[in-house]
Amino acid sequence: MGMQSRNDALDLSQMNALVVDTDPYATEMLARIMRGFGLKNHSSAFSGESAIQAVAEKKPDLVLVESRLPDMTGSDVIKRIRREENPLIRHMPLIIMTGHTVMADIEMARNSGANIVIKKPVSAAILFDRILWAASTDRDFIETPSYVGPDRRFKSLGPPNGIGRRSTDLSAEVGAASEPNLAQSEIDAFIKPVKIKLE
Amino acid sequence: MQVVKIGKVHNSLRKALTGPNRIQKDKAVAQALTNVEEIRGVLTQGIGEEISKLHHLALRREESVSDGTIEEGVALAGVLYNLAGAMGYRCLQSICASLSDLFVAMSDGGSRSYDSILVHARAAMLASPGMPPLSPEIEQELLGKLKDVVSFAGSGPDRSRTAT
Repeated sequence: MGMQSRNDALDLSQMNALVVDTDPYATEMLARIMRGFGLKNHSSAFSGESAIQAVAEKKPDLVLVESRLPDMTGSDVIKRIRREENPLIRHMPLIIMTGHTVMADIEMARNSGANIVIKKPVSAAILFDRILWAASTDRDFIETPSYVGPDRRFKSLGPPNGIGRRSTDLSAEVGAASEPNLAQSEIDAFIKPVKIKLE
Repeated sequence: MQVVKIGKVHNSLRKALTGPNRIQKDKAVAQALTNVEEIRGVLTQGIGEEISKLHHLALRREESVSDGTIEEGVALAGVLYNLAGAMGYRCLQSICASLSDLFVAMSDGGSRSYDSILVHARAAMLASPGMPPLSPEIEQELLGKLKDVVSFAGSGPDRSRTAT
């Protein structure tokens, strides 16, 4: 993720985090890791319903949710949070944690609207990088009837191959040319560097 | 017509980038590891307790493994996987991964035999803290046999589907 940059530091002393996991060892380890990062205010929830209630009451700056909870999945918790009316709650950074799992679970976690999917056991170095990334990355936030969350297409990979992945994407089918093709000189003229004045 | 909203939103974490008490990554990670190391004893003891719970679960001997037992087993395997990984017991972690695959196979309609759980519980005991370390050859053989058990239980998850 290239996090060894000049701004490789965080001030979490005024932040408030919520960890949602039924595993008391995991919550204790995460609490200790985040205290090491300077976080002073954190709390735990042990079920999906109690997590949603805690989120509404405390409005944490960061939520870490385990993917498997006794009453619902972590993805369900995230979907519920992403559909809250209060934008402070709806837009909050959400990290989902998965254990040994299949790719389908990771896809599901990502499609629920999580900012980041992280694998357990959570390494301190990786968690720091991910929090730093969540703080510094300015991704668009998408709200559609079927998905609410950060833009999942945030990597600069160029245009996608083949058909679009969003329902609003235009068809990638290319019909027969209706006009003469461009000459090479015309193509060159399009891509020739041109000096412009920046305002 | 579908309403699609796209835009920038408030991110309260952003303040952490400029706050006056910023901690450099190296220092933060070192402090985090020290904090976790302080409870190594508790966590190691936890591994033993969770393996013991797993062993008890494997000895229930109902007619077949129920949905409730699978759910309980998945949770136990998850706790052990996390603990073993965090404490650096790689072989035990792999055994727990195999156990998770076994429960997935059972949920997907595979054979629900207690013997397959028991063999995992016994393997976990062999790789638990305080036991003599297994040689790499034995470890490979053990994990290979567990893979066979999972496959036998019913189409073990395809490796390509498993997250690494």
